[in-house]
Order: sequence, then C-alpha cells, then structure tokens
Amino acid sequence: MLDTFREVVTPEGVVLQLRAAGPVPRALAWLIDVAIRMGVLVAAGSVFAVLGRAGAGFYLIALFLVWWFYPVVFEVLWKGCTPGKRALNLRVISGNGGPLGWQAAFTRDLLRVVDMLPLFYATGLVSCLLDPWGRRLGDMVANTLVVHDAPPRALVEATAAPPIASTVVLRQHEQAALIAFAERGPRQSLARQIELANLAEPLTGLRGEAGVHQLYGLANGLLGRNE
Amino acid sequence: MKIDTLTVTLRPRTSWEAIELGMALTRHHARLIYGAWLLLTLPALLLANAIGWALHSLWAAGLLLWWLKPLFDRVPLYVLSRAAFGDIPSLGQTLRAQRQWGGKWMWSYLIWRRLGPVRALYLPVDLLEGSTAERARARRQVVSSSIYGVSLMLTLMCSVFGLVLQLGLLGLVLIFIPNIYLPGVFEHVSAAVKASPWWFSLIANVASWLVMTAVEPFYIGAGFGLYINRRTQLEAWDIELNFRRLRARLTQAASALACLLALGLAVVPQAGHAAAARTCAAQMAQQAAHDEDAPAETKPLVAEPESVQHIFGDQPVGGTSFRRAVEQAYADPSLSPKHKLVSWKQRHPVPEKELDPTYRGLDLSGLGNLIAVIGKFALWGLLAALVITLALTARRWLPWFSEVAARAKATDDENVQRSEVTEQASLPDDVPEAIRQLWYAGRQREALAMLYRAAVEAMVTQTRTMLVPGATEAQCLRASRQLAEREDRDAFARVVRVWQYAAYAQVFPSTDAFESLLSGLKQRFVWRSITSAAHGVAVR
Repeated sequence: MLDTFREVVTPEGVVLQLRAAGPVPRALAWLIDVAIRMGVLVAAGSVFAVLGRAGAGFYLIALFLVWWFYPVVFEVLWKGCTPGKRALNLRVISGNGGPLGWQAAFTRDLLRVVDMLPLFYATGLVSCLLDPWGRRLGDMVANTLVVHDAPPRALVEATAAPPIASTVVLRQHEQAALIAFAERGPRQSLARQIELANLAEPLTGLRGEAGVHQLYGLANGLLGRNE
Repeated sequence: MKIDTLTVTLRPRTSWEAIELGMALTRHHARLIYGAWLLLTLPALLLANAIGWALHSLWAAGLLLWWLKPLFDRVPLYVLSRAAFGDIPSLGQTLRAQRQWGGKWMWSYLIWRRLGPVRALYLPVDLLEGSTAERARARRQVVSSSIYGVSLMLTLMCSVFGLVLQLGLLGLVLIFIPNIYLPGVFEHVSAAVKASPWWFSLIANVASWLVMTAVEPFYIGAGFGLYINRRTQLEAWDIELNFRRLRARLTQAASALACLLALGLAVVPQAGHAAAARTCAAQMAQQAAHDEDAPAETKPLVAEPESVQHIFGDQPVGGTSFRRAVEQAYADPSLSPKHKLVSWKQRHPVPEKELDPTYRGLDLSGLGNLIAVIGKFALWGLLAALVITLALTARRWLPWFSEVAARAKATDDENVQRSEVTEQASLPDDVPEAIRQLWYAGRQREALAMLYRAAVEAMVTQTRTMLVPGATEAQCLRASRQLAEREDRDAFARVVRVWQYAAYAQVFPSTDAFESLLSGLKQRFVWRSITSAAHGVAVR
C-alpha cells in the first residue's frame, strides 16, 4: 500500500508515522517567509535610512542576520516552525522524529547555499521532487524532515444513539471504521448511509435504515457511552 | 470501480497531504509514465519544430507544445487512474488508450478552457467519470467546492516550478562561464536575442519541453491525488473499504463454522461428505489467507448489496425510471451545497489622509554619524571581547571537538561486535564443558548466552511448561516459579541476572564467580540428560 508516511521504529518497537511534506506546500511556506523577511528589511531600511551612511552599515548587518538566521532561530526556538511553515501547518523535525537541535538547524539552513544553485532553489526543487520524503539536499545532510503537522482536528461528535454492545469480536481497524461511520456518516446522503450499512449486514443482521441505526448504536457502545 | 483493489492507503487527509499522495503515486510509476510521455511528446516536439521551421517562425513551436499540454496530460492520468486500482497498464495499452479516449473533452480543454486554473483537478472528473457535459459541470462543482483554493495554489506553484527550472537551466550555463568573460558573453547573448536566430528558438523550445517533462506528470499526479481524496471525503471510501473487508471476514468465518459442523457430522465416510470436506478445506485455506490481511483478492463471498433488478425494475439503464432516479440523486442538497456569507461593511468609508510628497522627514545624519562612530568602536570592542573570551575558554571547548570525532568513530559499524544467533542450534552434549571452553577462549558473552539457554532448557524440562517462541527473560523467570525447590529457583534467577548484566550492560562476572556459578548449576540441573531439541528461546 502506497502512503506518504516515513515510518520510524523507536527502540521500544513503537512505529511513528511522520507525514512527510513535498515541494508545493514547502515552496509556498518559503514564499511567505521571504515576504516577511522582505517586509522586515524594508521597515529596517526606512529606519536606518535616516541615519545616513552609518545606517547603511547597520542595515547590512541587519540584512545578514535576518536573511541567514531567521530560519535557524525560528526553527529551533519555535518547535520547528517558521511563520511561513506555521501558516501552511508544516514543521521541521529530526529524521528520527525527535525535535530539531541547533546543529541540525544550522546545517540545514546554511546548506541552502547549495540548494539555491544555480538560481532560485532549482537544485532543492529537483531533489524535493525526486526524494520519496520530499527532502532537499540540506535536509538529507542534516538528517531532518519537513512534516505536515497534526491538523487542528475539528472534533466531530459521533452521532448519539442508544449504545449496543457488539456480540462479535471486532479488530482494531474495524472498530475505527465503525466510529468513523458514526462521525462522518450523517454527512452522507441517506441512500449512501444505507448502502454502507448494508455492507455491514453480517455484523448487524439488519438491512436498510435499521442497519444504519444499529451501526450507530454499536459505535456508541464502542465509545463507551451510557444511554 | 472496485474500491477493494486500491493500492493506496485511504484515510481522511488534508488537501496538502493529498497532493503529496498524488506526487508519490507519480514517483512510484515514474518509469511507465515517463516512457509513454517520451514516446508521445518527443515526436510532437520534432513535428512542432518542423512545422515552425517550415513557417519560418520557430518560436511558435514552443507555444504550440505548451498549448497542447492537456493532450499530453492524459498519459499520466491514464496510468495513475489504472495503477491506483492495482491494474498497472502496459506501455502499449497506455498509448492505445490515448487514441481511444478520442477528442470528446479535448476540444474544450484545448480551446476555451486551456487557461482554466484548476485543470489537474477537473481532468479526472471529465475523463474518468465519463458523464455528459451538463452532469460533468455539476460534478466539477461538487468535487472542487471545498478544494478550489488548494488546486489553484497547486497550479500556480507548478507554473512557478516550471519557471524556476527554466531559470535554473539558464543559471547552470552561466555558472560555467568565468567571471571575466561574463560581460562579453552578455553582450553576445543580448545581440543574439535581438537578432533571434533559429538556433536560439530551438534551444528555448527544447528547454521548455524539458521543463514541461519534469513538472507536468507531477502536476497531474497531484491533481489526481486531490481528486481521490475528495471522493474519499464525499463518499466515505475508507469506511466502505473497511466494511467490505469486515463483511468478507464475517461471512467467511460463518462458513468456516458451518464447515466444522459438517466435518463433525461426517462420521460415516461418504462421497458427498468427502466433497463437502474438500470444499470446506479450500474455504478454510482462503480464510487463513485472508487472516494474513491480504487486502485485495478475496471477494468470493462479497455479494453485491442489492441486485440491479431490485433497484431499477425491468427497465434497462437509460429508461425513464433510471433518469428519474439520477435526477433525484442530483437533487440531494448534500451533492450541491450552497453557502450564504454575511459580512459587515462601512457605509461611509473614511477618505485617506494625503501626505505631502516633498516632505523628507527630519535630517538626523548628525546623530547618525555619532552613532556610527560609537557603533564602530563598539563593534571592534565586541570582536576583541569575543576573541579574548574564546582564547580564555579554550581549555573548555577544545575537548568538544575530539569528543565529536570520537562519537563519529563510535557510530562506525566496524566497532560493533557481531556474533551469530544460536537460537536454533541444539545444545552440545556436555554443556558445562562447552561453556567453560567458550569462557576461556575469551568468548564470554557466548558462554553466558549458552549458560542461560541451558538453564532455560533445564527449567523447561523440570517444570514441563511451554514457553512461547522468543520468550523474554521476565517470562522465563515467571515460568521458573513452578520449580519445586527454592534453591533451584534462586539459581535460575541468578543465571538470568548474570546474563542480563552481560547482555544489556556488557558487565561480566569474574572468572571465580563464573566458576562457582557453573559448578553450583551443574549440581542443580542435570545437564547431561538433556537431549530434546532446543526451544526457541531468544538469545540476544
């Protein structure tokens, strides 16, 4: 089965699924970051401009600091997010799923020099398109990964129904499917709900709308609701 | 469409993740896609340039190729739509399909919808669902309603990617020109651009074809990923898939139960019963195969939920009742959602204040000069302070480098000792002697491993327990509580502790302690009598 996870197995045998991010959202996040940096530099420039030639010196220092250390500082101190990544719900993490350290952040952000070649990150883009986890060269060297952060999960309450205990032992993914049906089923048309419930007939022993309600009841039972 | 043959994992994804899924699909089937793509676009490139040559306007060939993109887009779309459902087409099939698809949709895509901003999302709706123009319009609206923005961004970013790669190719050439020649080269090139000779257009055409080849299949793949994800959201495909598997599992489990009953009844061997038993055995084998979670190919007992006749009556597809059913389905408000947005606006907008354009602000350059002087000295001072601090603290940070180097060396694979896992081998006849030999040969870890295995063997024979394959030390200890004598239990616990110290901490007992432990165990467990085959005890 094809998926976009990068699976990392911890020493305890727990499988972590890291949802690697590809070139499109990353490029967008980069554009946002560039816009922010440009804005900061324009503001700084107009402030320093009133100081004459001394201002130019300070401006150059500010240019250097903002341009090169903006991603490093944000990524380390703000849990792997720059403002652009935050906007796109992305996050930089270490390749083994851990948080990003100073060394890795410096490595990946200073290696932008390589990814920028020959112009406008063309190397980074090609690498990002070819790599199964969308890493650019800096990411490969620093062993980091840009992942989709867990989305702010809109809590959908499962449809309330009188709970029913299942007489059949259900596997984990089957239980998850039942609960997903109770959460997302009401958004389907009734005909589709019935069609889905008819598929689960061997479980409920019922067809049609009665089957739908039986499934909602079973899901409520699995969720441990009382009445 | 058979959902149970899908080769991608279905789960509710965000739209961005759907794009990654589509790109992963393209990457996975890249060989086939690019093979067909080259076979189709290379002749097109040659033909377009030949036409351009004949018309004395070679630049038009590049434009023509760019304009024909929707035609080429069908190649990745065909491959992905088949491969996603487990039916990977051959190269010949892919090329034949391009002809069979015909021009039904292509006219609109090549004429008035060529510049449509979400082509990658609309192409699957039109080409794969194969409905009439009106229905397709409604479908496009439903599919794109909540993901139009993301698909728009996708198109935008993919065209930016094309531009970036185009400039990248140019930059790649410029990198190889030494700086002193650059002004001369620029003059040459700008003169050439003005004259626009044929070779310049040809290079531009080939470069844009290269870039299109690199980006376009990924763009179409991403659009297909968005489409699949949207259908999953709209129709709860992931739930259907799981319910289908649940159904198959439960019906097969039920038939297996019936099978067992039949076997129980078949006391008198009869021809009919034997046949029943055979079919039962086949079904049980199927069930066993299914329990391995083989997803795709088990559907012998998945009955269609309702028969066609039951729904549509006697009238075949295309009859009035069918049309009425379709219209009823489309009338469902959840298929064509409507939104009402309410927002507040100022009734009398305040006019903006006008600024005096000649006003240049205060002249603060005097203050600037002051700050510059202070800043200059402050920066030099800062540099000096930094150097002095570094020099003074050198004793603290210099060892860090050697530490880092040592750590890099330690992670080298060569420093890892490897020994064969002797899980399956049976124990030697004279266990204490073999252990002692290993110990004095310097292979202490193997010696303790064998000691532990032999102790577990002896414990298992004495207590007559069954250990699971790969039982942990804790499980062995728990089993050893059934040993009759207290001294036996203590001796076994001591072996486990010694082994754990060696295995997990590389701490070995002294030779004296080892000898006393061994001789003590020799009296406790009668090792010579063990001849049974080794249990699968994990020796790490």
